[in-house]
Amino acid sequence: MADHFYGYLGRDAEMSNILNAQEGRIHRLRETFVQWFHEMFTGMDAWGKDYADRRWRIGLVHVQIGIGPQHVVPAMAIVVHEVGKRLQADGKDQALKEALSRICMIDLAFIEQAYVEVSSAAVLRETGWTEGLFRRLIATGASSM
Amino acid sequence: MAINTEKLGYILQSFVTTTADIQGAAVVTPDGLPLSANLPGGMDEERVSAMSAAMLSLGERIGVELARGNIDRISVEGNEGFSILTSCGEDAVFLVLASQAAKQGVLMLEIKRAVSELKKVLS
Ligand code: HEM
Repeated sequence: MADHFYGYLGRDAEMSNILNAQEGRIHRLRETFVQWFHEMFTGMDAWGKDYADRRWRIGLVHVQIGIGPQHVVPAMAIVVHEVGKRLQADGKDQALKEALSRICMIDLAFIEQAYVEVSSAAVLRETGWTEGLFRRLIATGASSM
Repeated sequence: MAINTEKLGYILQSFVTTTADIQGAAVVTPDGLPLSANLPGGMDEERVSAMSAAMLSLGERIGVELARGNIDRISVEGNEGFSILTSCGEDAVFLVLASQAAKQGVLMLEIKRAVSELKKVLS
């Protein structure tokens, strides 16, 4: 799975640059990716708070590096696609495929949610704006689009 | 505590009509909600309020970042006039629009006077 995943990211010039921006990043990432994939099956604490915190933290790391949903969503699609192919090759049940796709979507939702929350929390921190003011600016701005 | 918006409106009204070269004024919450506004026609009260609160807050942050101490006011000068934002205690921002002809010294004095009056109603 990690081979497919990094093969995919490596084919995109922008993502490939990010992956190779630091010495040893790819190697570190491979390990964390395998760990991430494994945790989807084990559920850490039965897909409880630890699991959620870990997923949120992954989202935060990507925001800090500047990797947005436009990169993460297609990357997750690759994971779902490859999982499906593998299950089919192994003659596994359709229900298993559905369960895995679902947990991938839940993980994606966590990463996306972290993206939205971290982005706005960062703006609030830098500007001193209240949450209410931020929502109001979004509303007045959006209404004129 | 409920704010006496009627009284705020009255203070703004008399500030705008009795001070020379003042074209409008508003009191807004730090959330950007207008508490009371007396702005020239055609101005979007909601938007102006949100922007005012955003500007004052950002100005205060940059004041800290650039080690300028407490910020007394934010002033935006254009060739058509001034807009001045002053903090009005913890819970309000005072926005004043003045024409190009306004004398800065007098204007600041009038704003100070109005702020102390507004603070009494807001506290
Ligand atoms: C399905 C989508 C993705 C998953 C599940 C995933 C998973 C992970 C995990 C588990 C980490 C480690 C987080 C930590 O240190 O706590 C990580 C970090 C990272 N990811 Fe992703 N990732 C995804 C998409 C992407 C994409 C599209 C890129 C774009 C190039 C990317 C680049 C990186 C980078 C550069 C790091 C930081 C590596 C470091 O320097 O330590 N990831 N990712």
